Amino acid sequence: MNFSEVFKLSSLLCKFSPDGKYLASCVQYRLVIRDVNTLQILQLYTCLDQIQHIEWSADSLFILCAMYKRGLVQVWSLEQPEWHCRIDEGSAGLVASCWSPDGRHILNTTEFHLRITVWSLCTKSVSYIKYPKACQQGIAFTRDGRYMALAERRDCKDHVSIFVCSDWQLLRHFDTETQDLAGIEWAPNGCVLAVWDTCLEYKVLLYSLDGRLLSAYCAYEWSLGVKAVAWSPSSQFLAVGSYDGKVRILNHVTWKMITEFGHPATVNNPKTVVYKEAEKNPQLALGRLAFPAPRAAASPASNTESKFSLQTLKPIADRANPKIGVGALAFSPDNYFLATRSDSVPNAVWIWDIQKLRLFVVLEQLSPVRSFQWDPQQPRLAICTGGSKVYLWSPAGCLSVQVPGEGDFQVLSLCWHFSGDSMALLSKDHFCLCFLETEERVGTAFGRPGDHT
Amino acid sequence: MGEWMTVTDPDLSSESKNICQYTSETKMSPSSLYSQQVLCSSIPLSKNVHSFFSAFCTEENIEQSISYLDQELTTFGFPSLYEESKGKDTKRELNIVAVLNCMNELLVLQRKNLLAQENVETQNLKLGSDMDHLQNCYAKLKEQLETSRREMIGLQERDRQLQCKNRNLHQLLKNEKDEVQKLQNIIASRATQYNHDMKRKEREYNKLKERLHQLVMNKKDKKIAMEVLNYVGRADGKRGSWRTGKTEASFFLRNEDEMYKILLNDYEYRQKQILMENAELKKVLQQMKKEMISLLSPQKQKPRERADDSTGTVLSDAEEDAGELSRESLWDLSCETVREQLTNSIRKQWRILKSHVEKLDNQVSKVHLEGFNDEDVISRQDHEQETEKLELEIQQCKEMIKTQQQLLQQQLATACDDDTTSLLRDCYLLEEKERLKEEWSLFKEQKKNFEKERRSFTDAAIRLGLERKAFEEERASWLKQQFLNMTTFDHQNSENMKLFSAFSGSSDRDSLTVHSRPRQKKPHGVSNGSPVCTSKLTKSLPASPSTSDFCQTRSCASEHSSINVLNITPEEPKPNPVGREGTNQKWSMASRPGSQEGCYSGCSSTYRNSHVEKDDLP
Repeated sequence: MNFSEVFKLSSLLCKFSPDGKYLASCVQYRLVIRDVNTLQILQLYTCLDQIQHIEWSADSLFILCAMYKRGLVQVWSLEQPEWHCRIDEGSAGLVASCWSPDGRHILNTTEFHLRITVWSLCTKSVSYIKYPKACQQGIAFTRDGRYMALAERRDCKDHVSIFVCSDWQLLRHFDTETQDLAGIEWAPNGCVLAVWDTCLEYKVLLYSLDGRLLSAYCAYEWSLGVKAVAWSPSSQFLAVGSYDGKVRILNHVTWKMITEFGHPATVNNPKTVVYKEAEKNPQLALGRLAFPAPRAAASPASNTESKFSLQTLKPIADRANPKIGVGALAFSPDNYFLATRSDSVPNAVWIWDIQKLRLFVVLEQLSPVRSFQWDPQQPRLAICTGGSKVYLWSPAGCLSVQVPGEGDFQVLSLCWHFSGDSMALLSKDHFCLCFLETEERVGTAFGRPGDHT
Repeated sequence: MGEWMTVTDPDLSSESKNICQYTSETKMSPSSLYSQQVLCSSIPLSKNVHSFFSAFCTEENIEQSISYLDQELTTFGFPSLYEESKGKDTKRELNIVAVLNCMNELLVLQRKNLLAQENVETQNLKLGSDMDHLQNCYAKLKEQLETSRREMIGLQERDRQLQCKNRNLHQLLKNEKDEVQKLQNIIASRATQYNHDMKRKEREYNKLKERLHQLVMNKKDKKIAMEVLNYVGRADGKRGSWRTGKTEASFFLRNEDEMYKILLNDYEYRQKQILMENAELKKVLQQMKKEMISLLSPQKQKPRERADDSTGTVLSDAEEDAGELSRESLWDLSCETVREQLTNSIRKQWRILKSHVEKLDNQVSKVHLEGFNDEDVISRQDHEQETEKLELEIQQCKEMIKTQQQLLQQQLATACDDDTTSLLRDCYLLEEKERLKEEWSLFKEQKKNFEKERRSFTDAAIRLGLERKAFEEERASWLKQQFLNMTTFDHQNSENMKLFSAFSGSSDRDSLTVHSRPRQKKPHGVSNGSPVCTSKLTKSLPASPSTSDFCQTRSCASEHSSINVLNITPEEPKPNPVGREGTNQKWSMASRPGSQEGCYSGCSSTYRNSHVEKDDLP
């Protein structure tokens, strides 16, 4: 495993281009485009103000930089460095900006969610979409980029509009049976739209592309409901994490629950492997495998005692957004695993075996898990906790890597290159690339899975 | 009077001499009596008494004492001590005879009194000890009562406390429930309030938004603009087309078409997947079926032999099905008939397999039980007994032959001594020998016959056993049929009655066969709880116990029922052995030398016993 040198970064803005050739990063008002392999600066664009958001177009030809404070969006072309485009939302303000999947339109959401403006880079045409709903996840594009679903709010009722992205025509418009819609998400096959209600009510609705209600699912009533939703890449499963600390898996045939995964603070099943991170001497911090010793210490414990308790956080009951429930969940790209994090047990990541529908591994870190992301190519999970280490898990085992460099590199976020060969580790002011070994060398580095009981 | 008390008591215990002195005394002078000498007694109390009595009569006052005694005795109803005076002038003579009679009477009286006293004393002692015992008992019981009372109080206290607790808990529960209800109400009201407020706020917000929209958007904001160096081509290379009213509809239609195409594709894909899965499952099912058939076919002959038609036909059906379904053309069809066939055949086979497995289980259990099968044992016993008998007979015959032989030999020996008669006797001897030989052969034949008989008997016994088994099977099947025929419960009852009668009819037939075997153990075992037994029988008729058992138990039950009827009236003790026994007991109790009380208690106990028995029996 190799690390690149450390580069400057601001606002955690660093993104690989969809084709995997380039890496965009922002330093204040400058946008830097690098070659992924050589890390040489290919382009350097200067924006009008501090960049708050960047996004690659789907064809990796353009990149947009949003400056919400000024209501400005600047678009740069990689092929034609002299080409430029500036979109000013004026007094309407700007809160969100994104590409349409074709990479030729930009959707700007104005302040107060008054409207969404669709700017075209091909023609002079401008379209407006009124009444967008201000919610957690109000816009969703299908994976193939054909359709866009938009959550709307009209007359105190939730609606969903489905647009055809090629010409922004309204295809379907239907109201949803939600109190206060919180989010929408397309299934990866683009035929089913999952809609979930606000956290006050547990409700998951599934709509077909043509607006028919396929199914409604409600696990319980009178309690805080859905917190996070994730589709499996095969569209077979919908995992719903809720405030009761459980993940419910719905199937795509009957849309009924197959199983539910609880997240208790004690792991009872002796078949479950628990990896517990242990403190090590700082001199050895450079060692790439900090885990073997703790693993040896942790897994026998899980075997003999058959009970392993995790560190839990007592939620504050009288505050809004309590730290309970499953707040993050993600399927591995091959559908075999589901990684979840329960907010009341912030240090742990649960990895579930979807084939056997049972808990497979629990990783307990020393500090709260900031984020985790699956390798796009194989079942390999990268985890960061805001410390100077990055953690990797694969079915073969688990390891932690100290990020080299002077000073403390606190990994706050990470993103994978689509090939799975490298990933960008982001700290508050810097970022670096981490190159992972190719398959055969990884095998030796990960060690044997001797402790799978 | 105090002196009298002291006098009378020892008076009873004293000897006849005292009385003699008594009679000789004439005067009562208590003060002078003290100086008298002690006569004879070792008891200090009686010493005093004697001294007192000795002072009663002296030489001087004989007359007085006699008269005094006479007076006393006459007052007590004794005849006078004096002779009947003939004249008034003459001095009355002392009648010795009368004195002696009196004395004797007094002595007798004394003895009686002594006896009575003894009795009284012993009784007193007994009563005293009884008293002590009872007092002890009383004390103990009192203690017990006290402790139990204390215990009871403690328990009551505990009970009270628990009840109190319970009440409190109930109250708490009720409070909690109320609280929950209240909170739920509050939540509901809050929710409605919140929703209402939210709606109101949202409306306001919408109004504001609208207003803002108008203000911001209609002002012809110069700033809202896009500066582009030059427009870029579309990603798909097409040129953007302007939307006009005309093309709008066609666009829409095209979009719809595309959407439905996508949906259709998705559904097709899913259908394909499901079909594949189905095919796979079908394959598995077919394979399972084949394996089942192959597994079950070796056993095909067996059930057919058993004339159990149902399984046989099913099997043949299954075979046909297998033949049909093995054709590949039907294999891929998913039409309903094939599916039905497949599922039906699988189901049938599964049933066969299940029954087969059950049979195997039964066999295994039977094998376990076989060793203890009573019927077999009994027949063997019979055999053994029979053979024993026969062997005994043979032995006897042999012995007889032996004795005859001996006798003959003796005769021969005696005959040999006499030479002169030997010649004459020789012919006799020869005759005798021949006769003997004949007898021998006869005996042998008899022996053979015996053996034959024995064999035939064993054969007969075996046949009998088989016949019996067959009969039992027949009966069981009949019973089953009968049972199955019953529809309603009431019906069943009436059927049961019928069955009962049917059994009584058949039991006679059966009992004949049963009687030939010595089997008297069972009824004794059953007789203890015959009423229970009968009830059981009526209940478990379908289970069909062996007929002989049934008949025996039934007869037993009838016996007992008659006893029951008799026992209900224990006052008429004529045919009832129990009642008679009770009376006997009573008499013996009464004749025993004991207090009457004991007798009564004995009587009551016998009554109680009889009552208890009466209670037990029904």
